[in-house]
Amino acid sequence: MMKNILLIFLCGITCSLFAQDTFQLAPPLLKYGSIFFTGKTDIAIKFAQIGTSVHYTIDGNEPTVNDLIYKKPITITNNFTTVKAKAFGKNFRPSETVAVTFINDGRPIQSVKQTAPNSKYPGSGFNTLIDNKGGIEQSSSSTWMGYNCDTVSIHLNFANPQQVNKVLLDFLQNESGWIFLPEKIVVSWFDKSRNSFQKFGTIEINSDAETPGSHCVYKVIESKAGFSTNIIVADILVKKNMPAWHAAKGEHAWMFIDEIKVY
Amino acid sequence: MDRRKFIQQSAIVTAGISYMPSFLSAKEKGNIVLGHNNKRYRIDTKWGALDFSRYPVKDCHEMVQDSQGRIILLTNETKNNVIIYDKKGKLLTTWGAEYPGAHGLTLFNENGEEVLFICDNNRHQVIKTNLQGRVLLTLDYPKETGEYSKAEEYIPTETTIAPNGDIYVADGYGKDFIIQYDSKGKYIRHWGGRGTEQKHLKNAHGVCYDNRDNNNPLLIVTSREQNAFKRYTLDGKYIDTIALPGAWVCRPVIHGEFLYAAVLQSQSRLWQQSGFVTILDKNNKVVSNLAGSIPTYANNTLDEMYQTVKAFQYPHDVCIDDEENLYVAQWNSGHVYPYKLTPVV
Repeated sequence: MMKNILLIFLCGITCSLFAQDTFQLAPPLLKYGSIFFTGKTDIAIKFAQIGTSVHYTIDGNEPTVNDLIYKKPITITNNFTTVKAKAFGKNFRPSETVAVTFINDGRPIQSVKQTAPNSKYPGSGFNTLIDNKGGIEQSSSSTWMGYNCDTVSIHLNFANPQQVNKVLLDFLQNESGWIFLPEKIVVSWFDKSRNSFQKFGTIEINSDAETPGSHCVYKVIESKAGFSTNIIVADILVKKNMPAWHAAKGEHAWMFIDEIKVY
Repeated sequence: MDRRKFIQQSAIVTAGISYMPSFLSAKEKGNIVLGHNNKRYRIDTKWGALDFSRYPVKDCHEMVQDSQGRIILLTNETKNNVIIYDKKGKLLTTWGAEYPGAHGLTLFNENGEEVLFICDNNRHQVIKTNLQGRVLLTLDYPKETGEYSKAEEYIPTETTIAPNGDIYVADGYGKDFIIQYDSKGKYIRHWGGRGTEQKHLKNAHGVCYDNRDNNNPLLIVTSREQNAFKRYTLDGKYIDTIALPGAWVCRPVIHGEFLYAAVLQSQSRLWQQSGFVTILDKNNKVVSNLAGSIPTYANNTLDEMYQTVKAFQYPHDVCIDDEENLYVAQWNSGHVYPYKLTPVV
């Protein structure tokens, strides 16, 4: 009996809490041509809703009402600057935060060759992975090369030997759409003196836990010592079996990539 | 399995999972005003709520009002494909168990008797019934067009009926043709389909007879994946395109001088419950977005539109009643019953 009363009581509290609930604002739209830039870039924020304002940060912190109110395009010059924006308004619950990181140019890459992408997602020509275009969260964007094979190799050539400490690859993650981050990335550099490829670095990515939504995710493979080379190769292992929580578990996942950079 | 096809199917599976949040949001208070200019509304998310154990819904696809003032809802739940409410949201009656793919619902006054046209995605048919559900006519896949080799290629989503009784069917999930029949169901012609020209369609999800200009009635067809409506003469000649950047518009609904449409989702946030409702004036200019961005034109070009308030998930159709109230039926939104929006004067 007591249990029942308690249950009714708890239910009452819950219901009254939700009765005071209001609608949540949708996230503002961050507008940019590409997340990749040379020197500087401008980012616009769109959110045409009366009685609201968009607050943003570029220092990585979660935006609050005390942060800057968006009024005009934000100019970014620093590499790896993350713009975070959130809409607030009286009578509404604040929106979710939208965050996009902008990436400055790296060492000049003379040419790129990669495993041929699936014909449905061919990208936009032979320069797709070094054209400074990308970071678009929609898989239909022609900036993406899409793969559902096991391994993808990308060869980068430099006109002159370059000191390389970091290799960056930008991926799409849209798990409900079968697009997963790769399982593993192995980077090698060509050692002219030994006339062979040497290990640069490796990262492994675990996608066992579900990530909802569609996001651009960049991964950096770093070598503290660095190497001087004119060829870099990245071998990407596409996820072969989608995890148990996925509605298409066991099926081969897709890997979408739009850019590769070296620093 | 094909990635795209899979996404469509898994979206339907997740409908069940997202039941709770929409149940909770049904408690929302009506103090928020949605929309712009002289088309602003207060929302009642509880209007259509029924006992789910007795009168369940899956996707609430479309709604119409009959001459008795009743609001008729079509759902692909075969326990009660048709749910009839009064304007206060009281359940009056239900019928229909044979429409697993119930999608399009159009009402037509045929010499004094009101009839319904149901498009069934799964049956690949258009079915004409009376208001009690008695079947009067069934249109199978249009072999006569020469465009189809089997029924499965034809997935009709919408109909509209011209005053002379001609039936126009939009094959919005099939091959995107508009097929015109006479009132008896005899094939007359077809047009549209996919392609690269302006006259072609991509996801011809809706069609409506637009008689706002009495001297020049025409057809408005949805090209949803192109975020546009396209206008055609009654015999299928392409006239022009009404671009609606950013908006996955469903069928156009004409009421008075205005055109109303549910927007399934925003192009900027695909498959993330980013829908809203859009309203166009007699010149086909957007004057209001309910839960969407303020409509603005620069040099006669409409700026991208998008959801700003999460009042809806995936709106699929609107119905405007004789008192200018607006009802919204939603697809894949956690089995949510229709909402009612009342004009703010």
